[in-house]
This record gives sequence, C-alpha cells and structure tokens, in this order.
Amino acid sequence: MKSNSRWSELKKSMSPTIAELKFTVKRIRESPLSIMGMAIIMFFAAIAILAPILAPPVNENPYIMPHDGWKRVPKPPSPKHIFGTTSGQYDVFYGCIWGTRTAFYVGFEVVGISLLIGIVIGSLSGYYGGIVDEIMMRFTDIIYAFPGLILAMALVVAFGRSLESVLLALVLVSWPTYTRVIRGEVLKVKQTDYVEVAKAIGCSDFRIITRHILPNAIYPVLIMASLNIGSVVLTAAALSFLGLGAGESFADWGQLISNSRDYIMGTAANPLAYWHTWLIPGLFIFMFVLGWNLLGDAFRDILDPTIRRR
Amino acid sequence: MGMKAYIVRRVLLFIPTLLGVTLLIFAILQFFTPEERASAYIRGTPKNPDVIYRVIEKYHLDAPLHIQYYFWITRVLSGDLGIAKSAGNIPVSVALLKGIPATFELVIFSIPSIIFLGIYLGIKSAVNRDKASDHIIRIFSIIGWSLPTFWSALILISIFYGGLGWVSAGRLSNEAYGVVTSPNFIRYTRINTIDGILNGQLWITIDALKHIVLPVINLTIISVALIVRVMRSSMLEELSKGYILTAKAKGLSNDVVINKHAKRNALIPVVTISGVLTAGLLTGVVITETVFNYKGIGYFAAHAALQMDIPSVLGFALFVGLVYSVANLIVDITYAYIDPRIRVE
Amino acid sequence: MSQIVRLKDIVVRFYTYEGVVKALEKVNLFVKKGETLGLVGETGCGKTMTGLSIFNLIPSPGRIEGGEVLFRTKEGRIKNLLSLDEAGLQRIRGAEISMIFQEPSASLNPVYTIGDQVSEVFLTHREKALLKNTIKKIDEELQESKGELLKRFILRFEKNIYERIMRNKDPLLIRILNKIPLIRRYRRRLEAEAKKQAISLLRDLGIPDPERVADMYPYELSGGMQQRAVIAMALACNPVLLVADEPTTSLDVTIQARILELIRELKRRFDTTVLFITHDLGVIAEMCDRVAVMYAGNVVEIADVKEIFRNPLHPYTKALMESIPQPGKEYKTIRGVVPNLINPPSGCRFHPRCPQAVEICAEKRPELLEIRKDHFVACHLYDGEER
Ligand SMILES: Nc1ncnc2c1ncn2[C@@H]1O[C@H](COP(=O)(O)OP(=O)(O)O)[C@@H](O)[C@H]1O
Ligand code: SF4
Ligand SMILES: [Mg+2]
Repeated sequence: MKSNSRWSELKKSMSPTIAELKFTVKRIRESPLSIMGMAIIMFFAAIAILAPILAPPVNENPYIMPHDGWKRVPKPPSPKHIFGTTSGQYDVFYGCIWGTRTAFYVGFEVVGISLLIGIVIGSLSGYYGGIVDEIMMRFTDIIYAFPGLILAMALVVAFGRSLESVLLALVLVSWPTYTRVIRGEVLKVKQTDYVEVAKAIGCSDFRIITRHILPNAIYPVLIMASLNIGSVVLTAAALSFLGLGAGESFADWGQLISNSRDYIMGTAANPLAYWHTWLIPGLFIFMFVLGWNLLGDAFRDILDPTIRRR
Repeated sequence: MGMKAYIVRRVLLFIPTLLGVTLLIFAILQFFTPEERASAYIRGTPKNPDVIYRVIEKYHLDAPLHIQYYFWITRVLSGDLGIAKSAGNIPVSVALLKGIPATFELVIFSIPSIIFLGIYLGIKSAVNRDKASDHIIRIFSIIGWSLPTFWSALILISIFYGGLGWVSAGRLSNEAYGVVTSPNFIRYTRINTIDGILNGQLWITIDALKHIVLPVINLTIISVALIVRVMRSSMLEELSKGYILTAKAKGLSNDVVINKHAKRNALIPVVTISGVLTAGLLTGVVITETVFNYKGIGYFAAHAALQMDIPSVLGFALFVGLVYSVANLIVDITYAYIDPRIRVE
Repeated sequence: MSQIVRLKDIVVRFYTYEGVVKALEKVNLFVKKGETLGLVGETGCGKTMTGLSIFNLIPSPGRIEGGEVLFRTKEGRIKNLLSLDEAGLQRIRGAEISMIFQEPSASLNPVYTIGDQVSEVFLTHREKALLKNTIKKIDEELQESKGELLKRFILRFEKNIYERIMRNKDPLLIRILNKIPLIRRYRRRLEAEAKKQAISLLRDLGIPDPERVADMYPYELSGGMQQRAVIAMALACNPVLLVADEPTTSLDVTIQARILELIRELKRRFDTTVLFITHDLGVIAEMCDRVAVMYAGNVVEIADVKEIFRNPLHPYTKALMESIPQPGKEYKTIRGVVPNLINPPSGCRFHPRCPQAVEICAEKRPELLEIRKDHFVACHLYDGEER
C-alpha cells in the first residue's frame, strides 16, 4: 500500500516531464532543420551498418585499412580506388566507409563514458554537497580553465599516440560539463516535496537518488549529451589532423587527411593536385557533424523555456 | 562601491584558478619519467647519460611531488619552460614570445569581425523569427559551426590562393619578407601591419593584410555561429519583455525599440559568452595557422604536437590556460560594468 | 459628451502550438471624453488585450483579426487605429494615448536611467518644441558671448544644424550624423533640454529629489517610485486617453492608495480620459464613472458605476458582486471553472457556469444591447430570445 502511494507520487511528479517530452517530440517532428539532421544521421548509420558490404574488409581487423603499395605520393580517383588513395596508398573510399563506424564509436563512447562519470559524480556532489561537492567543483573549474582541444592535445601527448589516448583525453575534457548540469538538476529536484517525503518515510539515500532524483534530473542532460556527439567527433578529427590520431593505417576520417598532410597543399604548379585526399574525408566529417548540430540546434530552440511558445 | 567589492572578489577568485591551471599541467608532466622530463631541459640529444642525471638532480625531478612542484613553478615563473626541440632547440618561452605577435594580430582582426557579424546576424534572425532570412542565417551559422577548421581552411586556400592565385600562404609575400627581415626595417611590434606603418612602408601593411584576410575569414566562419545563436535567443527573450511593450506604447519606432532598447540588454549574454569565444579562437588558431602556414604560437604548437615535443606542447597549454583565465576574468568584470544590476549583489 | 475611443467587434486570436486561443471575441466598448471607464473581470478574461488592441500592439503570436478602433485625435479627426500605418500609429502612441502597465519594474528598461527613459518621450514627440527652446538658448548665449570669436563660431554652427533639423524633420544628413558616435553629440543640447523637462515632470508627480532620481537606474527605485516614473512617461505629452492596466496590483497596499490618488489628481489636472483596468471591484467603486465587465473575451455588461453595484443585470456580474467579501454577508464563489479559450463554450461563454442558463444560451451568442438608457447587457435573459 505504502509503495503504491509512493508510486503514484512518482508518477505524478513525472507526468509533467512526460507531457513535456511528448510536446518536444511533436515539435521536433515539425521542425524542418531537425528532420534534415535526422536524415543525415540515418544516412551515416546506414553506411556504418552496411560497411562490410560497401567495403569488404581485407585484414582480420576491418578497421585496419588495406593498402595498395607503399608509394608516398597519393593517387587520384580511378576505377580501382574510386576516391583515390592517400599517401602510403591507403584506399580513401575504404577509410571513409569504415571511418563512419569509427566516428559513431568515438562519439558514443566518449559521450557515454563522460555522461556516466557525470551522472555518478554530479548526483553525489549535488545530493551530499559539502566538501566533496566543493572539491569536485574546483576540479571542473580547473578543466574548464582550458579550451577543450588544447587540453586534449596535451593529454594525448602525455598518454602517447593511440585511439585509446584520444578517447581518454576527450572523456577527461568533457565529463565536467555533464557533471555540472546533473549537479544543478539534482540541486533543483532535491528541493521538491516528494524527495522530502521520500526522506521522511526513510528511503535510503541510494534509493532516493536512483529512484526519485535521477529520473527527473537526467532528461535534459541525456539530450544535451547525445547532441554533443558531433562536436566530439569534430575535436577528434582535429586531433587526428594534428597527428595525434589513431595511427596511419586506422580507418578514421581525420587520419586519412593526416596521412597525406605533406600533399594536401598540392604542387607548386597545381595546388589542387591532391584535392581528393582532403576534400572527400573532410566532407564526411562535415556532414556527420552537421547532422548532429542541425538536430542539436532544433532541440535547443525547442527546449529553451524563454522562447518555447510561439 | 559594490563594483569595487565585486572586482576584488573576482580577482581573489583568480588566484585558485591560476594554482589549478599550473597544478594540472604539473600533473600531466608526471606521466613522464624523470629522464624524459630531464631531456626537456637539454638541447638536442645528450650523448652521455650523465648529463640527464645531472639535470634530474639539479632540477629536483625525482624529489617528492610538493618539492618538485615548488622547483617547477619557480622555474616556470622565471620563464624556463624547457627547450623546444621542434623549433630548432630554442627555449619554449622564446618560441612562444616569437609567435605571440603574429597570433595576436590574427585574433585582433578576427574578434571584431566575429562579434559584429554575429550580433548583426543574430538580431536579424531574431527580428525575422521563423521567416526566410531567419532560416537562412541559422542554417549558414550551423554550417560554419560544423565545418572542420582545417577543411574550411583548405577549401579557402584552394579557391583563393590556388584557383584565383591571390597570394600564397604565409604571413607575407617573399618580397615583403625579405624587406621585413632586412636590418634597416625595424620590427617595433613584430605585428607586420603595424610595423609597416611605423616604418613608413605602407605596402608591407597591405601585403600583410592580404595574407591575413583568409585566416580571419576562416576563424570567423567557424566561430560566428556561437555569437549568432546567443544573440538570437537573448534578443528573442528581450523582445518579449514588458519594457519593449512600454517602449512601443511610447510611440518609438521599431528601429529604436530594437537597436536601442532590446539590443543593449540582449548584448549582456553575448559578453558572458565571449569567454567561450576566446576558447574557440585559441583552438581555431592552432589549426588555421597550421594550414595557412602562418607562423604564430598555434603553428608552433601544432608542429610540436606532430613531433611529440613534450615541453613545447605543455608550455603552450599552460600559456593558453593562463590567457583563457585572464580572458574570463576580463569578461566577468566587463559584465559587471554593462549590467548595472549585478553591482548590487 | 463625445466618445474618445470606440472599439467595434474586436477579435484577437493567439496562434500557439496548443491551438488557437480565442482571446477576444467581438469586444465592443466606448470611452466618453473626460470619464474614467473601469474594465473589470477575472485574470485571463482579456482586459490587457483589450487595452493593447487600442494601441494595435497585440504581442505575437497574437493577431487582431477583426474590428475597428475608432479614435478621436486631438485635432478632432476620427481615425481607425487598426488601419493606420506604422508611422501614423507611432505619432499617436505615447502622444495621444498612453498606457501604464501592471508591473512597473518590468515596464522600465533596466539598462537606461529613469531620466533617459522619460526624456525619450519628449525627444520622440516634442522635438519641435525642444528645438525651439534650444535655438532660443543658443541665441541668448550668442548675445552674452560678444567678442569670443571661437565660441561664437561654434554656437553659430550648432544653431545652423538645429535650424536645419527644424525645417526638415528627417533629412538624410541628420540621419547619417546620428549614426556616427562622436558627431551624434550634437544632440546633447537637445537631450539636456529634454532631461530638464523630464526632471520637472518627475517633480510634478511628487518624486522627491527628481534630479537624483533622473540619474538612477530602475532597480535602484522602490515599486511605487518606479510606477510614478512610468506614469511620468505616460503623461509626458499630455495624452487624451490613458489606459491604466492594473497599475497598483503589484504594489504594497499603502502605496496603492497613493498611486490611485495620484492618478485621480493627474486626471483632473490634465483633463485626461482614463480606461482603468482592474480585477478589484473596490478600486472600481473608488475610481470609475462607468464600468465594463468582461468575461472570457467578451464584454458582458456596461453601466454607470452606481447602477452596476445597485442593479447588476448580467448573471456573471451578479455573481461577481456576491463574491465580494463583505461583513455580515455570505461570501459566495462563482461555481465552475474559468473556461479555456482554445475550445471556449459555444453560444454564451458563461453558460456552463450560469445559474439562469436557458436552452438557447448554448447555441446563440448574445449581443451587447442597450437594455435601459446607458445600460448595456449581453445576455439572452434580456434580449427577448429566451423563449
Ligand atoms: N502570449 C500569449 N500566448 C497565448 N495566449 C495568450 C498570450 N497572451 C494572452 N493570451 C491569452 O489571452 C487571454 C487574455 O489575456 P489578458 O488580456 O492578458 O488577460 P487579463 O489582462 O484579463 O488578465 C488569456 O486568457 C490568454 O489565454
Ligand atoms: S446568456 Fe444565458 S448563459 Fe449567458 S449569462 Fe445570460 S442566461 Fe446565462
Ligand atoms: Mg492583465
């Protein structure tokens, strides 16, 4: 009986959230920008899923690009290599297709892990407050004191060049954002009556956090996080371009460009001689990020309480 | 009075930030062995391992952490950040100092173009909400926001330098470079556009401007969306407020209502976001300079990263962390000046 | 007694994602010269929108979808404010009709001083008079400064500019000059003149130490002082009609009385007609000559204030009267809930709550008719339709 009333309590407290969600979904469907974004993301998802068919793997590890010789000079598109080859003769088409999987992988992994850290630290920090909170917030302050890419650059140099280093560095620079947002939400929800009620009837802290606070606090953060995937991939691409990527043979868009870094400026006679080495992988990065950002911008407008209602 | 107290409080808060910034860089340094860290202070590769051990001892590189930090921060404060092997074995601090004027020049030209364009487009977008011009502005700014910096830079180079043969990459043409580095050209500021004027050689200034246009455009394209978005949403918010209705009921024209009443208030969030803009610029500079072969600190850092030159990358990160923290301090104080309300808190 | 403003069949709709809000449905109303007309009704019934429709200032996503606002200007011409162009409206707003809003702190721009905001009205609507004064002052200074060549030269130059503005209201030259920060300082004499007038107006409204208050920002003033500043802006150009939208609702009780007294006094002094919006029948009794009662986007009854308290005809007005807490009398609330204006009740919007409703009430919308002399009611009980 008691748990029943608590359930209805929870349901009541969630119902505005659910109504809000429905309203949001409706508006997302009505916004042309978000539909465009959605379509682009779907397109990339299809490429990622169909990668083994579009570009059959040659090596045991499909993320290791096959290469057709060792010549340094990139080759322009030809029937054999429809997007041409990079310096070192890696097939650009293969790299772009499997690089799509890498992009999703990097995006989801970085956002997922930083979100998890954010949820744990943010809710503990917000719920208990005090010295733990103080220390955590100073931590986030320090990381906020650096532009993300530059701190990530320093970290990758420290960890050594590898995909894992890139992922770790990106997680380290992005967890504070989620931690702060979650903390803020927890602080808000903590004040509400039904959390007071839950405390009064003797729920454990763990139960209060997981059952009562997080379901209410997590919603804006989840949206924000999923939309950060684009910017994570953009930063990862920049690191790759700076030579701090996964390594020469790894199928990754930024890496493809980085492989040909000595050739992207073309020759003195023809600056566009090796256009394919950067224009094509760059287009993949751009479209992928654009998809997420279109969706993100539509969401931001819809969720902005000050301009919600037309 | 409130204002003074606010500034004092904000400046005091700056001290722990500085401590944090240095501590973080120091912590990253601990990923390396004392031997690796020692080699950061040695020109070239030492032939004799003794040299390394002598440096470790002299610089206390294997002492307990707090002692190490003390000696490290003392060296940093005296300007010793190690040797930049990727920049011809000159000290990192010298390499940074050499690069700063160029980067400063680039940033100083970019900021106004980003801010003015961003504010203009943001207002236009908000005033025409959900009309065609709003959609166009938003789509273009999202596109700019999504462009990989190096990719847009390469496209610009291909079109304007490659296709149209405008100028070639770099800070100056070869001819101008020859003059600038010649002994009878005095490099007062190392900022070419200004030095050209100071030396009475206007063509140097024009040459430098020609070379800076594209990097500035690139930085503008990738950062302007930030300002547009903030300006648009804060403008929409202000336009829905009561004082706007009062202003209209007073009989003011739309132009005055928008550009005098709403704009001034809508600018406040733009000031707060300019900290983030600084971060974006400091990041954008690294890649833009690299692609445009424009030799500032960003170019230096990118080349150091490529060669895994540890002291240079960390020295650069430390410098950027400091610049960014100072920028945030300035932003907060400016904010208090613009918004009379914050002073009472 | 002539009518200053007449609202005819005003329809206002809001287009929201939840649906179309039918905020005003054929509102009819007129205000006679010199009177104070009270507009009373529950929150959300459309009082503010009625007031704003006179200004043709319905905020988006709202739109005025029908009707006329006939306004008699100071010159005595009758204009439909809903078909006037933007420039024509701007000449009337703030000069001939002005408005005071409920929340003084929200009606003032937080980043400009009180003095700036009051002088702005003079600069907008009284530029000619300000110019005349300024030129006169320059002439005086010219008289005094015999012999000082440079000063005389500058003064001559300034006079020339002001005379140019005087002759041609919006010359291209001036428009360009206005855009250049340093040169724009030519306006400083004009602004100083406007500020002087603003200060004297503030003094008239009983603001102590007006010189200092003029240099203060809104947040530095109390609610009562802020509302006085708003009233100053509204009355700056001596308008014929003042729309006061719940001007005291957000103020302390003690200050409410003083602001009401101030409005009454100013009305006498400036001979202004007032449309007084409130949800407080007590204030109505104190301030108004006639009363219009609104319910859910309709005006349901209009009569003299005495008549309405003594002899209310519309069932809603009656219910409203009974809901006034009075000593020794039973306090009744109106049964049912305020209707939602996206799907308002059919026919008479009050019918689901009306104790006297008859069949036709759900089908046909009652018109506002003059049942007795000067007593208008919109109810089927009185229009011979109830059978
Ligand atoms: N911005 C808006 N969006 C949607 N509906 C609105 C908006 N503003 C007002 N309305 C509608 O107009 C009706 C009348 O509002 P208003 O005139 O402000 O009421 P009052 O002043 O009598 O309290 C409200 O019931 C509301 O439904
Ligand atoms: S018209 Fe009918 S429902 Fe409406 S007030 Fe009159 S009696 Fe009541
Ligand atoms: Mg109202």
